[in-house]
Amino acid sequence: MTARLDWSPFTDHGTLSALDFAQEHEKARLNEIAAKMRFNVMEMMCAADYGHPASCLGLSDLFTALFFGEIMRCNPADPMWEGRDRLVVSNGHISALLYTALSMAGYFPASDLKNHARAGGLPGHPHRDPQRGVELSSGSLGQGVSVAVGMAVALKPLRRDVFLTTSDGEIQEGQVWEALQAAVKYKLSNLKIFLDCNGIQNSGRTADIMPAGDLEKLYTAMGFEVIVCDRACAFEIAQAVQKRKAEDRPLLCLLYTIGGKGVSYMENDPFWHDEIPTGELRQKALTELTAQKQKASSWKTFLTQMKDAPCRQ
Amino acid sequence: MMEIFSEELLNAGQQNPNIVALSADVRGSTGLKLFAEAFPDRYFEMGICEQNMIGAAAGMALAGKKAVASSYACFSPGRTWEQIRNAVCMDKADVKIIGAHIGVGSGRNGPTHQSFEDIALTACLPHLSVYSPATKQDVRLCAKEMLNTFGPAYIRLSAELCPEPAEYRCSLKGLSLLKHGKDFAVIGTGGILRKALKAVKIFEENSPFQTAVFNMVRLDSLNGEIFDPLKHFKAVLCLEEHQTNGGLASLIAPFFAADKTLPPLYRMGIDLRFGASMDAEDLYSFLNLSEQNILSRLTEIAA
Repeated sequence: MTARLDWSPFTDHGTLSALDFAQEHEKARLNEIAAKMRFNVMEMMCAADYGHPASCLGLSDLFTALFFGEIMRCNPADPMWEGRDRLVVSNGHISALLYTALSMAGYFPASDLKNHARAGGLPGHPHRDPQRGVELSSGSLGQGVSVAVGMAVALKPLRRDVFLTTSDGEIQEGQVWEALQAAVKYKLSNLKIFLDCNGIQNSGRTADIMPAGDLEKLYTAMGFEVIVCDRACAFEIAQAVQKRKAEDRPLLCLLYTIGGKGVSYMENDPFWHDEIPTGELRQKALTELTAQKQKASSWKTFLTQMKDAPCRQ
Repeated sequence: MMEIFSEELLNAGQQNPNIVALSADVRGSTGLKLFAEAFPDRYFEMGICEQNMIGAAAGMALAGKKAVASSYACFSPGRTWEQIRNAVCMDKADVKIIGAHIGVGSGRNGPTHQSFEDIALTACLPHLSVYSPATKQDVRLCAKEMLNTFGPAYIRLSAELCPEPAEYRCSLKGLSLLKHGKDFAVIGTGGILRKALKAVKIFEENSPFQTAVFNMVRLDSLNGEIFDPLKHFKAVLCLEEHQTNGGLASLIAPFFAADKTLPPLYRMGIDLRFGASMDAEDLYSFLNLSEQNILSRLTEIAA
């Protein structure tokens, strides 16, 4: 039996009455999963000595929203279920995150994450794998955007959505612009694009390598319904998607993320685009992510217990 | 060839509601016209965006459609090679790629629009069926097979057809005999075989040798046995409207090298050069691929 806690310090100051309790609880639930995902994906990449930590950590909130935030129809017990929405990961270098998220969602056991990018393990860039819920091979940047557009055309009459992840580096590919024009032309309101804006890419900062200008203005002018999620948690991303309004246009979410989120020395540093920490730095990364996981877990437990707190009765 | 393919696509589209077609602003000249008119809801004009056209076709295919994507061969597979490799072939997407106006085409459009490299680009890709028809019957048979089977396929089409004798039977597994002969053989692919037939006729009028003409329609997954009918000839000339490096001769030469019972193989194609802007017949001469050139080569080999 857990001892009933004394919540009076909070209730006395009116803190709890100011909270939308259900919302805070949902936020805490998703944050706990996202924190676990960050730890798991880093552990996977460290074990493999392979991967792209910056975007894998930065996009854990999005993948939490997709697989646990009830915005994407999916069925881990039947990965190729006909009624599923499709997830197209065009920025395939985040394969460790895709596989970690699929495993956490129950598509396959975590033991499959071993030997990443080695013989017998899951590949370094995603390979189409219907049994594990991977829709297509990707990694050659730009191509997944077109595939997502094609899928959305085919699935729109069936009222199924296509979720596409891409990035502010990937949009340098000309094919992306070809595909986005078609998405607008065919009024693909079932296409939901998440553009990871972490400002870094393989050789440095995106702003130095090939600046794309004001993305919000650009995509709005092209005809997208643009929403901006700035350093958003999984809950906020899911909320933003659910609140989208347009029914005649594709959705483009500018997702301003923090590359390397959760590891103090990695955050916003292009060095960690595809560099795996070793030695003490590796230990530090895993320690910091463990601490955040525990903190997120404690907060969720706190809010869960508060359901029964005297102040709410 | 494009008109015949267009008819076959229309037929297939009537049978199979799952077929969709995409083009990159060239539907009229690349075999999609009839389909686009009959099924506007299943035709997608992708604009001058060949790479996206192939990727979107792959996406439609992965979502359950059979997608036909057409452009000029110089642009697709020319520009779209990596999309065909990764988005179509790697995931075995049910996409049918039409490369129209292979070879010299009209000639007058100039070298940017002439495609002499498409066999090299496609025959190297895993899971891709490569169809290279020469005659009317070939086009119909290729179209029927590719539109009724599952998986990535490429068909190369030209405006000009090779005439076929009444007894001609196209084979999609081995060689198709266009003309009998017992001394020498020409083996070729695509519409240029029309020139081989003409050249051989003149050759036979002026020499004691009879020359057979064979047509090779399927260019993927070759095996040595299909060349057995060539064993009794004195020599074989391989003719193609394609760069000799990476074309038909490059595909079949290893079989001739490995099997000592096969006769010597000579090759005739485009020798690592670009075309030019002129009438098609002038361009064949410019590229040393005219009937006269073929005749000279046969005479040379027979001497």
